[in-house]
Amino acid sequence: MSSSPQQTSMRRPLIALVAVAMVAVGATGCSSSAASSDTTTTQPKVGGSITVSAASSLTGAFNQLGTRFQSAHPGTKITFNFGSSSALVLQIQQGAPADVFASASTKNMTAAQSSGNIKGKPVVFARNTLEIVVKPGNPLGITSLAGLNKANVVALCAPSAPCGAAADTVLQQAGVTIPTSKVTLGADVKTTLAQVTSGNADAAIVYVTDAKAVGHAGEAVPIPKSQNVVTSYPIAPVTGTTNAALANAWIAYVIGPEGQKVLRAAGFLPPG
Amino acid sequence: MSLDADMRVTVGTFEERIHLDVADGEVVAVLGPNGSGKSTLLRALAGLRPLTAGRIVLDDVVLDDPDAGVLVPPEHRPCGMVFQDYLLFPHLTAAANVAFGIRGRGATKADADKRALEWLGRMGLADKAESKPRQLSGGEAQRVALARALATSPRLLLLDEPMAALDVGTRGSVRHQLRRHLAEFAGSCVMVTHDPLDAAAIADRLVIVEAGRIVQQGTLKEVTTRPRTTYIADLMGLNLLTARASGTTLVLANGTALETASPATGEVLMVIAPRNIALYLQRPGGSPRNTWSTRVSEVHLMGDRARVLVGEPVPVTAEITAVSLAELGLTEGSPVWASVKATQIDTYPAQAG
Amino acid sequence: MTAPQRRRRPPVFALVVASLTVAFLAIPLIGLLTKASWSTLWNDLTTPVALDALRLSLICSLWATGLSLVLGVPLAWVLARTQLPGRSLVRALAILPMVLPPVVGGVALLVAFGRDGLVGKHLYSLFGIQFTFTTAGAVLAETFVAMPFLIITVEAALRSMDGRYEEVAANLGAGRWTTFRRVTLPMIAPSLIAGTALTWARALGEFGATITFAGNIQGRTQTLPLAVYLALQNNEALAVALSLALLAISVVVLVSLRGWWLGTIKS
Repeated sequence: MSSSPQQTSMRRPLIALVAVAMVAVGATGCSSSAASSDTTTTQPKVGGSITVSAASSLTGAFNQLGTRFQSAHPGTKITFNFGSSSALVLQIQQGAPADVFASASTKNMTAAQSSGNIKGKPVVFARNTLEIVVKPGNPLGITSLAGLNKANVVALCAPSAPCGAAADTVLQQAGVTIPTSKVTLGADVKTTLAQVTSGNADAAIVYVTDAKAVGHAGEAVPIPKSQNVVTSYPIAPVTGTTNAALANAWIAYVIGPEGQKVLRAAGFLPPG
Repeated sequence: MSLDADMRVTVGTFEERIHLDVADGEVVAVLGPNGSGKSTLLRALAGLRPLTAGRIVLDDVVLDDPDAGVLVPPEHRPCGMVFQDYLLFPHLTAAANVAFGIRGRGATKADADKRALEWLGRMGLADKAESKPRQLSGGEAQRVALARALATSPRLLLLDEPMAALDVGTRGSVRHQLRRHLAEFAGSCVMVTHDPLDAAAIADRLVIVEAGRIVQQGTLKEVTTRPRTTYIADLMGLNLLTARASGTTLVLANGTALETASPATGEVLMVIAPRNIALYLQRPGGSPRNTWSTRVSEVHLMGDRARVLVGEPVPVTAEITAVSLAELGLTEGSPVWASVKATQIDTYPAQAG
Repeated sequence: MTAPQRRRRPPVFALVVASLTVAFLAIPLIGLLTKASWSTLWNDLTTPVALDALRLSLICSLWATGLSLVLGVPLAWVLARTQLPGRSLVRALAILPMVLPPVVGGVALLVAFGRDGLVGKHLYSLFGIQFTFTTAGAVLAETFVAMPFLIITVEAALRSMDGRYEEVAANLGAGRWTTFRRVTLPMIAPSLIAGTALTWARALGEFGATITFAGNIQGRTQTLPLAVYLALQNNEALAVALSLALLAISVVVLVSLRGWWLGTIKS
């Protein structure tokens, strides 16, 4: 009935392959992960440049924050590398010169930690939760997870994507099973959402931040807290960073009031 | 002696073994059936296929000698070649095709262009200098190919079936021109062909190759009047049989006896021209002593002539007029009487020399 | 009595299928055009993100095409003209990136040429060369994915070319290199140009291997397809504008190249 991870991982062999490669690389690269404690956030004079590898769902918020940070700290340069969290981990594990990793899930952060690529303890800086998005005007009158059964086609993220795993949990907690024949799986949250905005699917389960970005092309239906899950966005400096001071300053900025304001505006929930 | 080539080339299970001497200014035609190894011979001379054993010497320079570890690559051999189908470079003009080889021998571009135009002029192709190969007729293409080969001032000229790509209608005149151009060439020339008419018109000497061996060589007259193999006899349109002679009596392998005019002894080859064999429906009376009863095995009409193949005891081809064929009403399987005059059977020893 | 020779018209069936094919190819483009917000198009395309992506796409795809020519043509020649053992294996290897999902290709490149990768760690420790997060990495990823198109086209052309012309050149005193330059290359020119165009187009559209291996950094590795992907996260108008730019570039180049290439064949 509801799609099991095994089934879908076979449907998406390439993601499975990436995952396998990740695990393999992670296992061999597992060495020292000595936790150093130099993440103190005073206000030292920072300079130079860093590269921040961030989950693509952070694109809008981080670009905005980057500009503000640079004008607040002249002489600094923040470069972003946006991609899927799993690909970012793999790059870091293969020695990509990233200084900060901002992940869309704790799972990927843990993977980077266990391969010894994370310096210190990751900090959660934002959270995200799920929402149902339906067609404009909600023609089928879907008001809850149970109501999804009224839909002919429901778009979900593939279980290998963070939003897919979360959606599975949410449906389980609500005791709702949607027949697999009615489910379409998107590679990531944007392609999943596009199924509704293009009119192919009647409803989708996506992140609040994505639902917010839909505008008039869809309508959001909240999921009650009791049934919902909250995913955390952890951030941490990368072991190989050559500019720990700036990396820490950036993390502090994201966690701080400025950062939180921008993240909140983009629809993210506060970290705690 | 300009070219002295003792060539042994093994291709799979086929072994070719040919010795070829060609004097300066001499044109040798190599004739042979398909697959006899004619082309391999040219390729070995040009350096496109190394010898398995033997030696190629041109003007006292060793070009190929596997035992001595000598192999001069094709680009360093003084060999011009007119390839089958000419193989003019399709992306270059006629002049550029000719200039290509001149530059390949070290000339500057300007010099090569000038000499290419001279060569084309000599070939009567001055107005075709800027034409691409596909705009040339077969005869013109052949002359460009010849100019391209000769422009490199080779000591050895190789021609691979130079007439095969031409229409039957133009062959006569092209053959004549080719002969004229070759007459001016001072080096040795080897031409491969399967057409005895080309060989007859152009070459000084014929070399017949079959199954990788030279089976006969000599002047045109020697080869055409006294063929040593059925391949040559067929090419020349002659009947060739082997027999044992004692005096004027010739006994075929199947025991049939024929009479000839000039006496001989031992194993002989005998040649009968097809037009000297007469066919009758009834046993002919009178003079011919060589008369036998047989059946028609094949009939080929060729214009106003007909070639009639008859079976045992003397399997030969007779050539009669189409009118006679109609009068006799011969078809495949018809019984017929054949005869030949003793004076029209030519014999010569089976062993050469 | 002989019927007058009618002019042969193309069969109706072929015309119908051809029209459907054209529609199938054209309608998505029209869809993209209807999605474009024309009023902001110019502004969208002149933002630093868009300009950087345009510039990088051109630079990387041209480099990748050049590298493919330099590395791919000799390999195609070896595959077509030599009897070396294991050629079929090498051929399979050479076209593998065509069937490999590009993301997997990116992962493979990362494991091989990443700074801690099999070869990458030596390149880094010995020469300080590093591909991840660099334009060179993007070029490498595009080359990896696009080069097979060149190898296949050129090898096929070399195979179908009459090899005797190379013997003619040798007979006319040309060495290997002269023969290749003055005979082989001109004779396979149409295929070489077609293969180059294909390779360039593939490199221009490359996404998966680039984002996985080289990363997605504006001005360094963020080519047009990567910029489109990011723009989809928060600025759909920009995404459409960038896609249109990508399309426009490829159409202009391919059409003009084709005109030129047909011209060279005719002349």
